[in-house]
Amino acid sequence: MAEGGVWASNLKERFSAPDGFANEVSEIKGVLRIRRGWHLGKRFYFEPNFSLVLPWRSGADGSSRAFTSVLGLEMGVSLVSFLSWRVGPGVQSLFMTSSAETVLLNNGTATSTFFLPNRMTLSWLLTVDTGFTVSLGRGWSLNADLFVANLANHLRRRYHATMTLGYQL
Amino acid sequence: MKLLSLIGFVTLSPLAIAWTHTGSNLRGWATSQLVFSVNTANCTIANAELFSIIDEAINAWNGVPTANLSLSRSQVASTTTVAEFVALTATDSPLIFCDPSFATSTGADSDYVPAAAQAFSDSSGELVYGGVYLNAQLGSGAEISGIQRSQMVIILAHEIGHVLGLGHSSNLKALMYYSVAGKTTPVIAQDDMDGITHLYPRSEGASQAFGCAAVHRQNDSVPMVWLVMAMASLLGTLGLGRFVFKPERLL
Repeated sequence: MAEGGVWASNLKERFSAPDGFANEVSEIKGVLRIRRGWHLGKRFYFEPNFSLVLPWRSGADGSSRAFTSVLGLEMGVSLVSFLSWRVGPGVQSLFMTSSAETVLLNNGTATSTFFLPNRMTLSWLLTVDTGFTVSLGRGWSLNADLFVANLANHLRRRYHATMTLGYQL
Repeated sequence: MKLLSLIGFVTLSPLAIAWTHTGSNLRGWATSQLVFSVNTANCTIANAELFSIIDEAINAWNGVPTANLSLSRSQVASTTTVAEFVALTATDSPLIFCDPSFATSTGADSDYVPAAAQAFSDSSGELVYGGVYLNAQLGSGAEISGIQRSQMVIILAHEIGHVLGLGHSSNLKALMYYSVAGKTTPVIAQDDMDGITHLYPRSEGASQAFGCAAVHRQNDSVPMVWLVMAMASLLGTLGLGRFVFKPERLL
């Protein structure tokens, strides 16, 4: 199954941000996802999936980039013939690259030199993923998913959601 | 399918990277569990109020989900004097203190600058010393008792960002933008989150996997359980799992 759709990150922060800051704390972007399902009995199935948020964030001159992806291991159950529910653990990763660069920026009274490092970093979080798939027939489906990162920590907990249209390849 | 692929490339919100660091190859503090010592000796606002402002500023950074940071404030005031800090002889850093000679210590205009930060790294790029100066210079225009509480929280969170290794951002809505104009709360923008995550990447589950109680921020080895999970997921999505499971087409 290949899917394409919309990714919205940090939903709670988006709706609680002061005026003018919603797009600074949360992003709405495209998402591409591939899934593969394996039956485990008549109604249940195992469905690993991989989602990539596109386009990646990048610096004005392209010297730095940040890629967000989610790897999910979901179990699903067919509720009725056209509707199924999925839930499972996942890993949200943030891969960042930057090349060495110096930047002159205002410091309030004059300008100072600041720096971009020359290295890559990878950060990853455990997530709980859940979602519904509605079959539209002829191989098409509509998918709504919620990803909760840092479920146990109220300061760091984040809610991300996707809405995608999928096609059975 | 071409249409579906195109959807993924559409930019719906124009977030761009604008963060910087204060050093060319900065690696942050050696530990992600930093305790800020507070010297209240010369402060011109009540201790309880100052502690409350510091806690709020610290929690702004503690809430970054992708960063491995756990900041806290010491329960007792540090005995370190401002002079010791300026002379680089203080032993407990990072520090937050009120400076009655703010203009002299920092070289900043005390009528306009309510706080300043300083952080030093060693030859490997690791931060080893730093702190926040609060303007307690009586009679100066930007002395902290004359600053609104909400603005003080934003200012302190910004300065703590410097102590952690972040430089200024060119994104005017980022906390690390040089000016607090237009801001009412210490909002950590995605740009701030990216900058701090680059210094302190979070590797959730790594400590448990290796049985290590003290999580060092640079220990970003991938735990075995997640390697297995990633492999299983990739095998599954690539269709190679047919050797393990009977493949079936689903919804």
